[in-house]
Amino acid sequence: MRDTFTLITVILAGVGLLYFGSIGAGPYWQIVALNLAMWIALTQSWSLFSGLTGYISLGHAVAYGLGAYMMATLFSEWPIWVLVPMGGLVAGVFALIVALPVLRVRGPYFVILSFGLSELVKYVLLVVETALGQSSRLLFGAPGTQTLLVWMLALAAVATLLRHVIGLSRFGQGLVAIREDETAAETIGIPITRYKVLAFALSTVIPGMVGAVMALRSTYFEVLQVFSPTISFTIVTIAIIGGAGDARGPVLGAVFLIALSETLRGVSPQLYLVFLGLSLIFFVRFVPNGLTGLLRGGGR
Amino acid sequence: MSLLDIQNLTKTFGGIKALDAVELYVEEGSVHGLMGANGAGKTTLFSIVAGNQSLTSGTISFAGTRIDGKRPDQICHAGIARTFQIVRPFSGMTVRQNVEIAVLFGRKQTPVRGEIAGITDEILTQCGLIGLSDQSSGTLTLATRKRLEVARALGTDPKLLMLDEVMAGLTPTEVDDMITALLTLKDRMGLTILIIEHVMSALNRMSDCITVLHHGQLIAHGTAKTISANPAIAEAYFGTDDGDEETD
Repeated sequence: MRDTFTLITVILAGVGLLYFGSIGAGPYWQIVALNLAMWIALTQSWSLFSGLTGYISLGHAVAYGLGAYMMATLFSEWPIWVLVPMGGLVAGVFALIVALPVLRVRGPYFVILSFGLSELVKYVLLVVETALGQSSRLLFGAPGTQTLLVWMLALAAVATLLRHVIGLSRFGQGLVAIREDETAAETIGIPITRYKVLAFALSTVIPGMVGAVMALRSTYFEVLQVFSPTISFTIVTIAIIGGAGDARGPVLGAVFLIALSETLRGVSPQLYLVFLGLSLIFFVRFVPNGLTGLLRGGGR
Repeated sequence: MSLLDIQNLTKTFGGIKALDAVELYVEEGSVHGLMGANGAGKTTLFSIVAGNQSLTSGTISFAGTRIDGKRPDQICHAGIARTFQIVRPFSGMTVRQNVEIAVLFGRKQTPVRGEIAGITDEILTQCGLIGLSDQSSGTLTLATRKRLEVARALGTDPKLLMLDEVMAGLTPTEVDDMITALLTLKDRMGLTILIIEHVMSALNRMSDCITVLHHGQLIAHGTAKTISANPAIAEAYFGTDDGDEETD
C-alpha cells in the first residue's frame, strides 16, 4: 500500500517534470518527452501480459496499428476524445477474439505465432486499403505536440500504475504462477485460460490508445509504417534492458533507449542501431534481469 | 456412497489403451493405495481425475457430482488436490509463496487477506517446512521438494488428496518421516488419501486397501495382506516371458 503511494508520487513528479520541463525547453524536448512517454506506455502494457505470464508477445504492434487506423479513418468524423479510447477498445476486442486460439501455444511457438499474426493483420489491412484506393491517409488539423504530450503522459502514467497494481493483486499472482508452471497453476485452482485471455486483452488497450495518439503526431497513416514489427521489437528491447519484473523496468528501459537514440541519432542513425544491438546482447548475457535487477541486487 | 467413484474409465493414446475400463471406488476417510509397474497407467489416472488430461470414455464422480470434463481449477475447488510425481514447484517463488498461492486460489471460499498468512504458517508447520519458509523453492533437496508438493496441495484445503510417489527417491528415514507426517495430517484435516507408491512397506503401513493396475487394467483389489499374497501381482511387477515394455 505504501509502495503504491510512493509510486503515485513518483509518477506525478515524473509527469510534471516531463511536461513543464519540455514545455520550457522547447519543441525538440517536447518530442523527446512524447516519445519517452510513448515507449513507457507501450512497454508497461506489454509487461502486464508478457512480463507477468512469460508469454513473450511480438505482436503488440497490431494494437498500436489498430488504434492508429481507427484515428486515421474516423478523424474527420469524430472528436479525438472519443477516438483515442475507441482505439484502445478496438485493440482490446481484437485481442479477445484472437486470444483463445493464439494462447494455446507456449514458449517459442507463441513468440512466432504472435509475430506471424501481426504480419498477417498488416498485410490484410494493406490489401483492404489498396482495394479502397487508399495508399496512405493524411490527417488535416491535428492538434499540436503539447496536447498530444498531455494525452501520452496520461497514458504512460495510467499504464505504469496499472502494471504496478495488477502485479500486486491476486490476479497478478495468478499470472506469475502461470509463468512459473502452467500445469501446477491450474491444478491449484487458477483459471489459467481466463487469466491469460484477460491479461492479453488488457495489455493491448493502452497500446491501441497510444497508436491513436501517434497517428495525430505523424498526421500521416500508412499501413506498413504503423504496423511495423520494429514497434514490437523495440518494446521487447526496452523490457529486456529495463527488466520486466516490476513497474520500474519499462521506465528505466525507455529512458535508456531514448537517451541512446537522442545522443547517437544525430551523429549517425546506423551507429544508434549498432549500439542498440550491442546493449541488447550485453544485457541478455550479463544483466538478464535488466536495470531493475541491478537495482534490486545492489539494494541487498 | 464412495467419495470418489470412477466407472469404466478408458483413455487411449492413438491405438494404445493407457487405461482400459477401470473401476475404482475410494471410501471417505480411507487411505487407498494404487500400485502397478511403470506404465501401468497410475499417473494417467491421477491426471484424468484432476482434469489435467481428458478421458476417452467413462465417468468420474466426486462426492456425488460428476467431475469428468471439468477444468482442473474447478476440480480443485470441488476438493481434489494432487501432487506431481515429477515435482513442479514454482521455483521462482519461496516455499511460503508456493503454499500461499495455493491458499489464495485453491479454495472454494477465498480466505480474506489477513487469514492467508496464518493458514499458510499452519500448513508449513505441519509439513515440517516452516524453517525453510523463505528459502527459494528451486534450491530445496528432493525430500523437501516432495514435502512442498504435499504442502501446496494441502493449501487448497482438499477433501481428497492424491499423492503421486511422494516417497520415491527418499531414504528409509525420510520415508518414515513422510508416513508419520501424512497420517497425522490425514487425521487432523479429515483427509481421504489416494496414493501411488512403489515403496511397498509404506503402502502396507498406510493403506486400508490397495488397487493394482497392469497395462491399464485393474487386476486386483484388496487389503495389503491379500495383495502381497496374490501371485498375479508378482507376475505383473516382475514380468513373464513376454517381457514388459517400460514407459513412464
